[in-house]
Amino acid sequence: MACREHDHRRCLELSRRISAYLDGELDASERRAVEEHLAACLACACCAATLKRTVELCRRAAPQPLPEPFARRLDGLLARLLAAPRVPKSRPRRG
Amino acid sequence: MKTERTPPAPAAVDDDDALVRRILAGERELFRVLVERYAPRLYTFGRRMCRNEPDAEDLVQETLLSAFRHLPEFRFESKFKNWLFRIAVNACRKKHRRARLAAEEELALEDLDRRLADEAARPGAVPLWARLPLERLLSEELSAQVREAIGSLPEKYRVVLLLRDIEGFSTEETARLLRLTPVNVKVRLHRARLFLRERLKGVLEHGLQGA
Repeated sequence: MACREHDHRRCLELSRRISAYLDGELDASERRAVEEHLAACLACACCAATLKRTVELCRRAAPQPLPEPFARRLDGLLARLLAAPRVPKSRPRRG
Repeated sequence: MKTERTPPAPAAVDDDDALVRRILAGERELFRVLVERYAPRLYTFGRRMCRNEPDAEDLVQETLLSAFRHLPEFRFESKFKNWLFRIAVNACRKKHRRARLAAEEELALEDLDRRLADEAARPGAVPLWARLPLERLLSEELSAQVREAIGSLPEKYRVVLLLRDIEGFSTEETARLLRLTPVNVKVRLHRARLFLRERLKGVLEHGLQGA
């Protein structure tokens, strides 16, 4: 990203760290460097704001409720599972 | 005097580990609480991963069935939710392999950089859609457009975005779930977000004209 008022080479490099910045995954010195750049560069500030809003919109996109017929089928399956005498043994699955 | 112990209402058990321990100790009916807690989230994940209703339903069913069968082998080394989503991710991959989907697409960083450079060539104010209070933007129509945009991401980016931004797994948790490095997760997430931003920008800038 570039802006007329400062060294343009920093913009592209910074744009690759904007997600990590938004996620709070940069260390203090990296975060300070990004914040100083954002304060001086309108294009990068715009990129950061629109990326932040994109993440917010993803997080708030309504979940899709279980369709009623499927919820009933799942309930029936569960009833059969729980009515079975015991949980069958199976190969280990680490967790 | 021995008194009858009344089991607490299942919904009162908030902690997954405590719930799993009780299920394993014999209170198998409590598995219903896990199903109520996670079936809707698995379905939402499945709809966005599989992009169709029948496959998403299969994914939920297979995941829960497998979790129930393998619960005795759960060793509390990770969160139950992480273990469950690991099963879901594997079920999803198996399904996609069976369906012989097209080779995985890449989101080339160069293309995304070019778009950023175009934007930078004519910097403007932060657009209205990024400045308005979020509540003023949200609508069922926009949610559908966001879901559609997420659905258009190549699978390897989509799964990272869903686990990180929708399900709230950390970078490290996502890396473990997908057997990727944390750096790889960060790169894929960033590209996925840039791609979505491009898609949503068009929708929102057009939709807010005259607002």
